[in-house]
Amino acid sequence: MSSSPSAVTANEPSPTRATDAGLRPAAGAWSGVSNDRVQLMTAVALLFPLAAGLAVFGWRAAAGTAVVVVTAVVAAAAWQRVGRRGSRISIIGIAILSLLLAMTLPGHLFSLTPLSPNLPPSWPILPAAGIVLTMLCWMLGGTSRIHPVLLTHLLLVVLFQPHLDARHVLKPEHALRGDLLDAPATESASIRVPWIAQRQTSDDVHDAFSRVPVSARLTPFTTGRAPPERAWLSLEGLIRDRLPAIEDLIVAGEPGPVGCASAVAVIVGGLFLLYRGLIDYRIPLLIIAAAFLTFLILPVPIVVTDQGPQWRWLAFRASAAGWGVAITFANYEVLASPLLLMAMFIAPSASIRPMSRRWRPVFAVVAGVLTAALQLYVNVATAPYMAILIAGLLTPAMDRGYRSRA
Amino acid sequence: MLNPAFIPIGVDPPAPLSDAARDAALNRPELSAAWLVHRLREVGIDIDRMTAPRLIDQLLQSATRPIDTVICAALDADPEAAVNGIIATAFADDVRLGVECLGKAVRAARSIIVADTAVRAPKLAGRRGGDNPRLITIDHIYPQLHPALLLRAVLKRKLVAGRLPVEAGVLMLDAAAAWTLGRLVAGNVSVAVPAAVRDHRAGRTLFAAIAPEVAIEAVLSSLQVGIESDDAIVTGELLLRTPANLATPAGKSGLVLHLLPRAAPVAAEPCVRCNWCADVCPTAVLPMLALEAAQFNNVSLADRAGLDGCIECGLCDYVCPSKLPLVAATRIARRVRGAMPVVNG
Repeated sequence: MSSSPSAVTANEPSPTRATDAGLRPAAGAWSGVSNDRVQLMTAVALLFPLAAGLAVFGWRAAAGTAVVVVTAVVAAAAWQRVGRRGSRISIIGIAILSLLLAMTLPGHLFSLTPLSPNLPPSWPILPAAGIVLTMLCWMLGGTSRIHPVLLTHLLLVVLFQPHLDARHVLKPEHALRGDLLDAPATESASIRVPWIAQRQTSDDVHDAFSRVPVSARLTPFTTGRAPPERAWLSLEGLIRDRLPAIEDLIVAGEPGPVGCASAVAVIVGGLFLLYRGLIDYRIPLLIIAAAFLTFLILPVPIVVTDQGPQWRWLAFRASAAGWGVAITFANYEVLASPLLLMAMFIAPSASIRPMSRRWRPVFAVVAGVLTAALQLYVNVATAPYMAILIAGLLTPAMDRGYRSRA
Repeated sequence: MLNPAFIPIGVDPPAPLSDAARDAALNRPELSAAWLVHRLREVGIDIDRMTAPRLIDQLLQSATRPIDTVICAALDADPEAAVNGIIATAFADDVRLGVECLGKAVRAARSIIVADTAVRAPKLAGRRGGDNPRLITIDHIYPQLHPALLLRAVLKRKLVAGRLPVEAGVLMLDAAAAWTLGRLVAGNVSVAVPAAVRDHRAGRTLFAAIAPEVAIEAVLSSLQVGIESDDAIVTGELLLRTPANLATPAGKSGLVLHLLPRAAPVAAEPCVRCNWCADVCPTAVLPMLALEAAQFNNVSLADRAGLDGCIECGLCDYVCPSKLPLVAATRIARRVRGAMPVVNG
C-alpha cells in the first residue's frame, strides 16, 4: 500500500449518479484510517528531516516554514469557497503539502533585509510560495499527475533563482537558536572538517559560516562549464580538494534546502512511512539505485582543462578515476541533491506514482535515470524535481493498461 | 464438554450425542439428500452464509451434480464470535457425525474438515485413525473461509465467486451447520442452531443454542440484551453489515448477530488513488475501477476491473481511506457489464 499527501483528489462520486446508482458511503466496518490520518502520519514523518533542518538552519528556517504553512492554510480557507473544486480542497492536505514545499526551500529566506545589495528582500517569496501552492492545488487537483509542490518549487526557481542559493549553515554550537545570516562574507576555509566535529574558537563572533554547497560545485564540473583555476581539474581533484567531508551530507552541515539538511533524518522519515505502510518501498529504493548506477554509467568529465572537458563513459574504467573515485562521486551526487527527499516523500505520492504495482518499478527506474541524467547535465539542485515531474507525466500511460489479474 | 457460555433458548441444554445415537444416525436407511432437505424444511432451518452457502440448494443440486467431497469449515470470520471454533471443540464428535452423514447422503467419496491452526480439536479427525473425515488445519485470515478461496486452498479447484460449491463437485458447510445436521439425523434430541450475539457496545459475546423457530428478537430478550432504538443490528460477516430483521427466526438467520452503536453517517471523500483496495483484495479485483465504471456506466472499465473475482468480502470498503462504497460499486459495475452472477451475502 502506498499513499501520501494529496490536497485535492479525483474520482469524486458524482452526487446525482451516486444516488441514482445506490452509491452511498460505505456503511460497513471501517478501519478508521482516513485520508486526513494518512496525511497526519506523513506530517509526522516529515518532522524528522524538518527537525534536522531547523537545527542546522535555526530560527529563520523555522519562521520561514511557518510563514509558508500559515499562508497556504489561509489561502486554502479562501479558495475553498471558489467553485465546486474549492470544496474538495483539504486544509490538512494543503498544510502538509506546504510543509513539504517549505522544506524544499533554503532556510535564509525569512529576512527583511536584502541578501545582497542588488536584490530585493527575499521574505515575500515565502507567502507567495504558500499562495501559489494553494492555487496550483485548486487548478491541478484531481485531474493531473503533476505534483503541486514540484510545480511550485520549479516556478520559484525560475522566478527567484538568486534568492534560493543557499550558502549558510549554523555552527554546531549555535544550532537551532542561531541566526543563519549572521555569517562572514568569505567562505569558510575548513571545508574538510566535518560540521559535527567543528569546535568554537575564541575569535569566533558569528553564529553561522558560509560555504558553497556541493551541488553548486558539482553542476559546473559535470556540465563541463567549470573553467579550471589552474588549467586542469580532475574528477579526483574535485572530490579531494573542493568538496566538503561527506559526513556533512550524511549527518548534517551542508547548505541547502531545510528538508535536505540531513540525509539520515530524511531516511528515518522515509522508514517511518514504510513502517506505517504508507509508501511502496520499491519506489524510493529503485529511484536511488537507478540514479546511483546511472551516475556510474553516463559519461562525465574526468578532467576539465582550459581546452574543455574530457568526457568518459563508465568513468571508473579510466585511469584518472577508478572505482573508488567513481563511487565517491556517485555518493556525493546522490547526497548533494534533494534526491532522497524526493524519493521518500514525493515520488511515492499517490497522485504521481502508477496505481499498478507492476508499473511502479518502471516508474521508479525512469525517475532515477532521469534524475541522474539531469543532475549531471543540467542542475544538481533541481534535477530530482524535474525528473519526477517528467516521470509523473508518463504515469497515465502506465495506468491505461492497468487491469485486474482476476 | 459443553461450553459453559452456550445458553439454551427454546431447547434442552445441548449435550454431546451418545455413541449409540451416532451409530444409529449413520445407519439410518432413509438418509439421503432429499430426506435431509425435507427434514431441514420441516424444522424450519434454511442455512445461507459465507461458510455454508444456500445449504438446501446445494443438497438439491447434489441430485444432478456429482459430489466427490464434503468440506466442513470450522472457521470464523470474527475471532471474537468464533461459533464454529467453539462448536468444533466442544462437540467434535457431533460435528464429525454431521459431516459423515452428509457425505453418505450425497455419496461423496471423502470429507474434509478445515480448522484454524489455533483451534485445538484433534477429535475432528476420522475415528479409529481413519482419514475420513480428514482434518486440515490452516492459518485462517479473513476472508479465507469464503468458498472460492477455501476450495482453491484445499482442493486447488476454481469456483467462480457467487456460484455454489457444488458446481466444483463440493458440498460445503460449516461446523455449526454440521452440528445441527448431526442432531437432525440422530433424532430424539431437540434440534438447535448455534449462534453468537456479539455486543460491541458492551464488548462481550454471548453464545446460544436456539430452537430454529425462535425469532431474533426473542433471542435477544432471552439473553437480556437491551436494544436502543439507534443501535444497528447486523448479521453475518461484520465487514458486510447486512441489516438483521428481528422477526427472522433463528433457523433462517446468520450465525453471528452484531449489536453496534449507531454510528454517524460517514461522508465519502474523493478517491486518492492510494490503491489500498486493490492491494488488500484477496482475488485481485480493482475496486476503484469498478467504482468509476459504476459512476460513469463505463463497460470498458468494468471489464478491466476483474469483477468476476469479487467475493464481496468487504475488505476494500474496510480499508478505503476515502470511505467509498466499493462493494456496492462492484455490484453496480457488474450490472453495467451485463453479467450479474448470483452472490451470497
